[in-house]
Amino acid sequence: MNNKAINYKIPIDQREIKRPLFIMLSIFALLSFSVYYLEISFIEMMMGLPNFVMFFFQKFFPPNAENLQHYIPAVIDTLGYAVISTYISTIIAFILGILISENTNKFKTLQVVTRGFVSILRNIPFIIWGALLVYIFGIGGIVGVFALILVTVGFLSKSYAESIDEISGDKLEALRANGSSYLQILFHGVIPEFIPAWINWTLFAFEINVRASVVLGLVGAGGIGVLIDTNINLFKYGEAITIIAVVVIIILLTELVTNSIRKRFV
Amino acid sequence: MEHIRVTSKGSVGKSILTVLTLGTVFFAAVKLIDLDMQKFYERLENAPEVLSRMMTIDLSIVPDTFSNIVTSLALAFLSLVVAVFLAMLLSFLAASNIAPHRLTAIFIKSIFAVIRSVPSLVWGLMVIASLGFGNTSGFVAILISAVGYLTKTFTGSIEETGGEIIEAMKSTGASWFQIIFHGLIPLCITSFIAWITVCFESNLSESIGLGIIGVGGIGLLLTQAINTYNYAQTTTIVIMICLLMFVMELLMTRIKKNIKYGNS
Repeated sequence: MNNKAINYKIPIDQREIKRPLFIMLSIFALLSFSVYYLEISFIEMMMGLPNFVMFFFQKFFPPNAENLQHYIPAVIDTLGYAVISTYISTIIAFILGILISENTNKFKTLQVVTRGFVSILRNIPFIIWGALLVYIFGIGGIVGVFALILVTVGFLSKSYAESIDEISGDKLEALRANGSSYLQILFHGVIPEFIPAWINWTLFAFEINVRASVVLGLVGAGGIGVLIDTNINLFKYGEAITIIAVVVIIILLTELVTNSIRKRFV
Repeated sequence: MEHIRVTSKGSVGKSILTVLTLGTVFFAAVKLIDLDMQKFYERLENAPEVLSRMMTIDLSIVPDTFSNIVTSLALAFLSLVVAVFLAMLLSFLAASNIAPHRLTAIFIKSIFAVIRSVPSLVWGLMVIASLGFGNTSGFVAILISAVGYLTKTFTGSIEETGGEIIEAMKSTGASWFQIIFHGLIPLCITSFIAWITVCFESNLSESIGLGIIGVGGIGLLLTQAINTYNYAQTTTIVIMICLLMFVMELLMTRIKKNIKYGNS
C-alpha cells in the first residue's frame, strides 16, 4: 500500500500514559507531605540507616554470652505461651469460623455480628492488645497468653471462614439432599475438606504467635521480651544482642519445624 | 445388611494417636510454664471495675488523635516507599532465576531470613538505643522490617512467574536490565502491588506499636493515656485506632481488587 506505513515505529509501551503519571504524582505529593509533616530532613532520613548500622556495630558488639543458661526459662515461657494460645484460639476460631462462613451458617445477623467482632479483634494491633490487657489485669504471663489468644482468634477466624467458604457448595448440597442433619454435614462434609487448610493456617498462626509472644514481653507480659527490654534499658547491649540472637534461632527453628510438618500433612 | 465402612481402615487409631499427642503437648506446655491462675482469678475480680470505668469516651482528645494518626500514617507511607525501592533492587539480585550470580542470591536470602526473624519492635528497641527517640528511629525501624518482608515476597513472585519469560527474552539477546524492565516488572507488577498493600497495613500497625516503646504517633498518645490512668482517653484512642485500621483494610482490599480485575 503506501510506503509510509512501513516506517511507523511501533511503541513498546502501548498503555495510556495519563493514569500512571497521575498516580506517580500523587504518590510523590504524599511523600513530600510525609517528609514535611514528620519534620525529618531528607538528609537525616537517608543517613538514618547508615548511621544506625554504624552505631549498631559499635554498641551491640561483641555479644556477651555469659548468662546464656539463665535465658532458658524465658525461652520455655515464650514457647509455652505460643503453644497454649495456639491451642485455645484454634478451638475458638473454628467455632467462630463456622459462624462466619455462609456455607455453615444461614443466619445472616449472627454472621454479621461475628464478623464484626472478629474484625475488631483483628484490627487492633496485638501490641496494643497487650498494653491494654496489662493495663486491666496487671503484668504477668497469663495476660500475655490472653492477648495472644485474642489476636490469633481474630486472624484465624477470618482465615478459617475463607477456607470453609472455598469448600464447594455442591457437595454440601448433595449431603443436604440426602437428608443429613446439620451436624452430619459439618462432620462428614465440611471438616474432612477443611483439614489441610486448617493445619496450614494453624501452623502459620503458631509462627506468628511465637513472634508475638517475644514482642509481648516488651509491654510486660512475660517471656523473653522482658529480658531484651531490661538489658537495653540497663545499657547492657552485649547481653541484649545475645538474647536477640537466641530469639532469631527460636524463630528460625520454629519455621523449620512448621515447614516440615506442613510438607508431611498438606 | 452389610455394614459399609465410611472411614478407611486404621484411620480411627491414627486420629486417636494424633489427638493424644496434641493433648500431651498442650498439657506439657501448661505444666512447664505454670501459669499463676490463682492470681489471675483475683485480678479478674478487679477487671469489671476497670472495664466499667473505661466505658466512657473523651471527645476533647479527638483532634490530637487525628494529628497523631497522620504521623503514624506518614511514617508508614514514607518507609513503605523507600522499602519498595530497596526491595525491588534486592529481590532482582536475590531471585534465583535472574540473579547475576548464584552466591549473591544465597547471600541476600540468608541475611534477610535473619533480619526477618527479629520482630519489628525489637528492631525498634535497637534503633532507639542507637539513634535516640524520634521519627527518624521509627522510620529506620519500620524500614528494616518492611524491606525484609517485601524482599522475601517479591523474590517469591519473581521465582514463581519469571521462568519462561526470562528464557524467552534471553534467547532474543536481551540484557539483564532489559529482561527486568521489559519482562519481569510488567509481569510481576500486579503481585507486587498486592504485597505492597499487605505491607502497608503491617507497616501501619508497626508504626502504631512503635509508639508504645517511644517513637511518635498514635501509639505514644495511647501509652501516655495509659500511664496517667486516663480511662476515657484510653478508650477513645483505642476506638480511633480500630476505626483507622478498619478503613485501611477496606481501602487496601479495594486497591487489590482493582488491580486484580485490570481496572488500572
